[in-house]
Amino acid sequence: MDIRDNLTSETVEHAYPTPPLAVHPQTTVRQALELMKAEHASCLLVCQQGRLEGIFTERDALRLLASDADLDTPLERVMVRQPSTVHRTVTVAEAMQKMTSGGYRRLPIVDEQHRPTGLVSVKGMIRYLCEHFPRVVYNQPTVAHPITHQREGP
Amino acid sequence: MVLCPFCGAEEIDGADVCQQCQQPLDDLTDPQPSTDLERFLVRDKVYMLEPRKPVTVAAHTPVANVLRTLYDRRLGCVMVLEDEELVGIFSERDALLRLNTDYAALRHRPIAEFMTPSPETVESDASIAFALHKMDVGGYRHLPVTADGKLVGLISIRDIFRYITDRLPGVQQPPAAAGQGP
Repeated sequence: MDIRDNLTSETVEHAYPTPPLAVHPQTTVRQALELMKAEHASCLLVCQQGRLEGIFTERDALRLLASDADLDTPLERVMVRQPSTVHRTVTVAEAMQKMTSGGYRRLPIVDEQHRPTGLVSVKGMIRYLCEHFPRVVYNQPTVAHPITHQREGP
Repeated sequence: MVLCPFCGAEEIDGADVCQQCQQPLDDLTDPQPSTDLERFLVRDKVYMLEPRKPVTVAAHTPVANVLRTLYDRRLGCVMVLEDEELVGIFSERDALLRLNTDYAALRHRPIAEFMTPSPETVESDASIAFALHKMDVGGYRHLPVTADGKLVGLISIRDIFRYITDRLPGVQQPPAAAGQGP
C-alpha cells in the first residue's frame, strides 16, 4: 500500500498522539511549569468543564521566564485562546497540512463536544512517516560515511 | 555476482571485501530504496535542507541573556561555543526542564551549567535519511550541521517534516470535502 493512501485514509489518531494534559484556567504559571517539568510535557491544554479553552506551550513558558513575568498569574491570562485543533476523524494528511501551513508544532485533537482527546506533534508525525519507509531510515549506519574512498582511508 | 564499485572486479554476493582491491563491500548489501520518497531521502543531502545559520553564545553567557536571545529572535535553541568549538546546545525545552520556577535565582549563572553538553551533530553531506534516523531515534528536535568538523548550520525536525510533506502531493492538496473539525 502506498504511503499516500495511508495518509488519506488513516485518521490522525494513528500519528502517535500523546494523551492530553488538561489544567484549569485558574492554575498559576508556577503550577503549570512544575507540572510540565514533572510530566515532561511540552504543552498544557487549558480546559473548562472539559471543553478546550486555551493552550499553554513551552514557548509561552519561555516568553514568561524571559520577561520576568509574575509566576502567580493564572493561566487564563497568559494562555493562547481557542488554539487550532483537529477533529479526531480527520486524516493524517489533513492534520499534516494544517501543521505545515500554520507552522504549528502540535495540534490538540478534539471530539464533537470540543473535549481534547489527544495531542499530535511533529515528532509523532515523523515517527508515523518513518514507519512507512523503515528500511531506509532505521537501517542507517552509526557514522555517515563508513566507506573510505581511498585505500589509505580518510 | 556483484561488481566492486572501486575497481570493477567481479565478486560473489555477500563478500565483505573485494578480493582484488581489498576495499570493503558492506554497503552493497545496504537496503535499496523502493519508492520515490525513499530514493529522495537516501539521495538528498543535509545541505539541501538549507540549514540555517546557527545563533551562538559563549559558554560563560548568563542564562538571562540567553533566554532573551531565544525569545527576541524567535529561536528554539542556541549553540554554545567555547574557543570556537561547539560544546553544547541550549533549547527552550532545557529552559523548561532545568530552569523552570528556579529561574529567578539562576539567572546570572553561566549557560554552560544548563546546556546539553556534546550534542549529536550531522555532517552536511550526510543523507537526509541519516539525519532523520538520528533525530527519530535520539528524540532530538535540532541537529547542528558540521562540515569538516566545523559548525556550519542547524536543521530542525520541522525542516525534515517540510521536506517530506513537500514530496507528498496528497498532503499539499487535501480533499476539500473531507470532514473538518468543529
